[in-house]
Amino acid sequence: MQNNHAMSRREMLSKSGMGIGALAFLDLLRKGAQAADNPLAPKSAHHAPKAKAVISLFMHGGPSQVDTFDPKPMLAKYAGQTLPASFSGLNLEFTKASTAKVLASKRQFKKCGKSGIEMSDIFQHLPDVADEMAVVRSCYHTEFNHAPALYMAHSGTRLMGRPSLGSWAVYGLGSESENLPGYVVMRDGPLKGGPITYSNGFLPAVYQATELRSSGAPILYLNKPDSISGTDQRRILDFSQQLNREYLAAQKEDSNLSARIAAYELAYRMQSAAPEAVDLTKEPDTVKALFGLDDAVTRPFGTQCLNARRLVERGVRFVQLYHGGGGDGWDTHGGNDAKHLRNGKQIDKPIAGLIADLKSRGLLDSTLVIWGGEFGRTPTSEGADGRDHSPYGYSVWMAGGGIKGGTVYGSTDDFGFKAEQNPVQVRDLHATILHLLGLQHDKLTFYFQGLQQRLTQIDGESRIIKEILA
Amino acid sequence: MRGLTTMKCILGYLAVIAFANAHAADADAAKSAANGDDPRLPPASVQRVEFARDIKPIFQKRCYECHGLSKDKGGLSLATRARAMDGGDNGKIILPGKSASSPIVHYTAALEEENAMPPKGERLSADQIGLIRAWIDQGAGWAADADELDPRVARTAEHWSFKPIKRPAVPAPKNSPWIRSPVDASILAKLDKAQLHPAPAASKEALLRRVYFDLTGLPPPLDAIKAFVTDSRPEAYAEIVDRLLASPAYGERWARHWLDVVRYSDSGGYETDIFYEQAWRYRDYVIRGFNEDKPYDRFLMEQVGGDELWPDQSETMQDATAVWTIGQWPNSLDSFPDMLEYVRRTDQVVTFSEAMLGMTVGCANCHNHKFDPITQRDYFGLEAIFSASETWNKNTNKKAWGKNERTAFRILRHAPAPTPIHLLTRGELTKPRGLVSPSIPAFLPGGGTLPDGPNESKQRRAELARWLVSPQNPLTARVIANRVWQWHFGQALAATPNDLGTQGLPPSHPELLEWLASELMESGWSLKKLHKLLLLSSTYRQSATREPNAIAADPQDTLLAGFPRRRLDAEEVWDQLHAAAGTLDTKSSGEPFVPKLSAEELQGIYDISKKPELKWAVTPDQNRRAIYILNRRSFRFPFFEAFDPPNSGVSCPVRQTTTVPAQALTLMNNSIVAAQAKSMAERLVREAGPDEAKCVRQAWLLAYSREANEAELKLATNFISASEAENQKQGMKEPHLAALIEFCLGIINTTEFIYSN
Repeated sequence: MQNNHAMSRREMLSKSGMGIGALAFLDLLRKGAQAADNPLAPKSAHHAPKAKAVISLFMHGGPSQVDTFDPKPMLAKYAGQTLPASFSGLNLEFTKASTAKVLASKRQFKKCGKSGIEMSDIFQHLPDVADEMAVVRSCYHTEFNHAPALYMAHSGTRLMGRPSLGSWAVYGLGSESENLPGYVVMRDGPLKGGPITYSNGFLPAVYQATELRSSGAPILYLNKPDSISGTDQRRILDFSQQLNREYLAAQKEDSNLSARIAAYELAYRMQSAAPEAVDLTKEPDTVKALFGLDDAVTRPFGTQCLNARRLVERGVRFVQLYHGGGGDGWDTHGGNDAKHLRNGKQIDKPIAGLIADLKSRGLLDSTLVIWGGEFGRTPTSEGADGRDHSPYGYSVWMAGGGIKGGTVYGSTDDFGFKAEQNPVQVRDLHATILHLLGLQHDKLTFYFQGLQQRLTQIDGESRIIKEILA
Repeated sequence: MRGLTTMKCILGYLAVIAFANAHAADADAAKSAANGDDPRLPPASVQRVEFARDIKPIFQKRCYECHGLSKDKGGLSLATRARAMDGGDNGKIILPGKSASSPIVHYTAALEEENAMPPKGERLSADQIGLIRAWIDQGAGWAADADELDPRVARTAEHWSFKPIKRPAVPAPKNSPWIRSPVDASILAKLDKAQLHPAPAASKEALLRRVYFDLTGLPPPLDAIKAFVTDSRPEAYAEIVDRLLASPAYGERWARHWLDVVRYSDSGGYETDIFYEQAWRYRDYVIRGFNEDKPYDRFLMEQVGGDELWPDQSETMQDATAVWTIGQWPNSLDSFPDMLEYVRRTDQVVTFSEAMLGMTVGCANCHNHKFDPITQRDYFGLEAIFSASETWNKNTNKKAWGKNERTAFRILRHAPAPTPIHLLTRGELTKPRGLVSPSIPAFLPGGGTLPDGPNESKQRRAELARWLVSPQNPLTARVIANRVWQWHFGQALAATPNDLGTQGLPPSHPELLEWLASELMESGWSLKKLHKLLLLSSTYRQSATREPNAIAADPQDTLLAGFPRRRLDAEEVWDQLHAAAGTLDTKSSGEPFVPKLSAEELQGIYDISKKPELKWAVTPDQNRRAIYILNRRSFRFPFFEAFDPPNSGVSCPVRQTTTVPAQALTLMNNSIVAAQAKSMAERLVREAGPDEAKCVRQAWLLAYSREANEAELKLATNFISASEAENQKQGMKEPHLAALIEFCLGIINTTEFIYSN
């Protein structure tokens, strides 16, 4: 059996037989660790931030813009016909833009909220928070395969192994939590780009994501394996830490060595703090219902969303959620409509609940919520009823911290294929998100491969999308 | 002065004449075309035009602001003949002999308002346009010395790493018994200057552990500790160094350093994460190379162009050149072979430059390097070298791609015909400009276009290899001497080891690096001799405990007033864990082994055919050295994750050392650690018997390579007794063994276990 990890700091200290001296020592370490030594200590932003935390809702596989947030009545008119020749040059993975036939959306769109943002009927609850949202309909990039597009959406380049947005955010701002990691990932299945999708890349490992798991122990290696279940971890740790302190004393001064002692204590605290953070038993039923935890369809993503809110409350800087991992998710090469209906059901209530709940707790003003995938989908068909990948014009929306709710920005052409008016590149999105966090994208740099690297890349301009800011 | 000007004129004139003769027919055609001129074009001047005198001043005054050296708007630069003739994003603008149809004339004559040039200020006068026309009609001659001189190129000559390597005089500080070699003399000279002192010599135990981990990645065996501590002969240490250099474990440790810089991996990453069946052969080739002390110049030549240089040894050379077959491979691009080939060449050029040349050139893929003299032309010149080769799948006997390929045995071979390489605007494949010939960066000594010849496409990498290790190449010896220093002392002398260009950091001890580089070349590029030189120095033998004033004055220990303590690398932590437990399987070489993982650990693995077990197919071998563990690009071995493993996407010049809670969680709760703790406890019982104090002494030797002191002995035996009593109280079956397991877990979780002093 596991030891009971859910003990308070006081309990931990008394149980471990550490007296006041040990307590003082830990506090000393904590304070010491917040000085220059601790790369995770909260740092001041470049300018006053609008958002303190980010919850990114990533739709893995690539949701179709013309079935969600970008209504295109022209599709019904031209259904079954090929597109004008001006689209022929677009590279696609499984179909050809020159020969593929237009596929109409079966969804109905309606104007939502006071602002009248249009959404398709795969969303029944999201319209309630429409006035919090700013929809960018003109996102685009060049990568039409999942893995490079995932890397692009996370790190601004198609290459694998570059630092992701969450790592940059924690690098820039540090963490507000003493007991939890600053950058947390939750997903419902493996990603096509692998775990390296949310990598810290060349940034030091302190900025790496910690994956919070949906089943079993929330963090890898958080609990003892069965083979040593009978051991008393605190007793062992006290023994190790005593040797560590003597080693530190013998080596005179070394910040790495003291940081290591502190890291062990943080790990120990995480063992109780992480399960506590994702322990939903104390959440009232009304809140659970708000996130859809009372329904098997919405429960998995609702749980992720509720956990995300709890993590943000506890000072976690960046929470990255994935929907659609493992299976085909939003990658609707066949059965596009049915799968969008299915996926919509799974995420609709949880996301609407998340935004409403953040708002009622006064957290929405300081929490930026982002929704989007690695790309959108073609307005044309693949097979009878599927849609191919398309990065040339897709929708992303944001809400909360610093966002002007009820906004629609940019547009695609009449078929919803290419970004047309006010096109937005991934690096513009990244620059905007960093801006809301109080960071200047061109000042947040790290030396690697001969250059001061940055999330928004050094070649080409990035634009903060001022039009969607409050 | 006067003579020089005349000379210039003559050269310019000769160039024009030569050109005019060669293209007499063209010129005639142009003349007749000129008769049918657009009436809006000013007529060509009738005078004989000389570029430097008549045309360049116009360009300088009116064009260079946007199309000069520092700016090339629209991809166009008029700063050099080559760039001007290349044209810009919209194609050529100067058509020699045909002024009436040359876009530059149309633009300057403002035939279309939206394309009028210059866009601001006055238009060029009819006379000026007439001169430009005449210059073009006369063949657009442009003497080489009329090119604008790039100040970056001028700076090149001054930059330390681009100057020829000259063996420096060894500094002679005060006569000190501490100085064993020129290494020490250099280090001491800097310490003196900073009014710091070397640390005292390390204890024999600490030195032994240090040199064992350093050279073999393993802790010293217990008999070696006892033998060394009691051996008072002065040559005892040198003998240990010799013995370690001769041990096969040396190659297994040092190959890992090299594998980091050449972005080694067993698979291609991305969705398919194609498995490279040949990768381990390259890994073994590198291990053998280090163990045999293959001269470093030969080692490089074999990898760069071994197949072309020594075709009679095709099997070895196939393994050596496999370094070019193990890069990232986004093979879902298979329906766009041009793009995939471009990704391949980019990976090859970037890896070659960073790992072997010690220059960062990746930026020049898209634009002329902002700081280094390397240009886009230089970059694509290197791509053209690799464009004569292709990766081939030996299994299918097809070019190495295919979306459904899960596994491939890839080799590098010559393509039936080299792919023509164009300079690409902003690095975009859809925006080709002029053709680029295979070449070595022109600003480096011996650089330039490769010799042409009937068989040249099968000699491109051979040429590159010969140049790379030629005495005139100023970088290669410096780059590897700098790296070897880094791998011994934790930080390189020049702290950006993949970039010794003008953007890299200058060396902390320039004369020392020079001396080591020249010493390396003089020794016939023997890395083992270089190791010995460094390891036998007093600098290396210092204690890791520094004086407070040294720590305050030099927090990073750049001056080395003490040996830099280091945390073991991910692989060393694994090896140390198994060595202490007595379970390490030292079987060398061969296919990678795959440790068993829990369902929890496997959660992140994505497999395109939804069969993760194919991707992580557990092998019977479980306890071999970490260098042999399967190294997948898209799924890193979870045990390593917390210990700063290299990012195998691109060359990794320096392992970071971070301290994160995940390290603690891994060492506390990973099931492999638990199993090794148990094995270690059983080993203690086996080797030390029931006596607790004996167990503790043995454990200290296994874990820390030193004897426990009295206080530690007391602390540890108390812990074991208390644990045993507690376990007894809990009714455990084997309370003593359980206590020893807890003890071993505790030891594994100490700082000293994963540090080398």
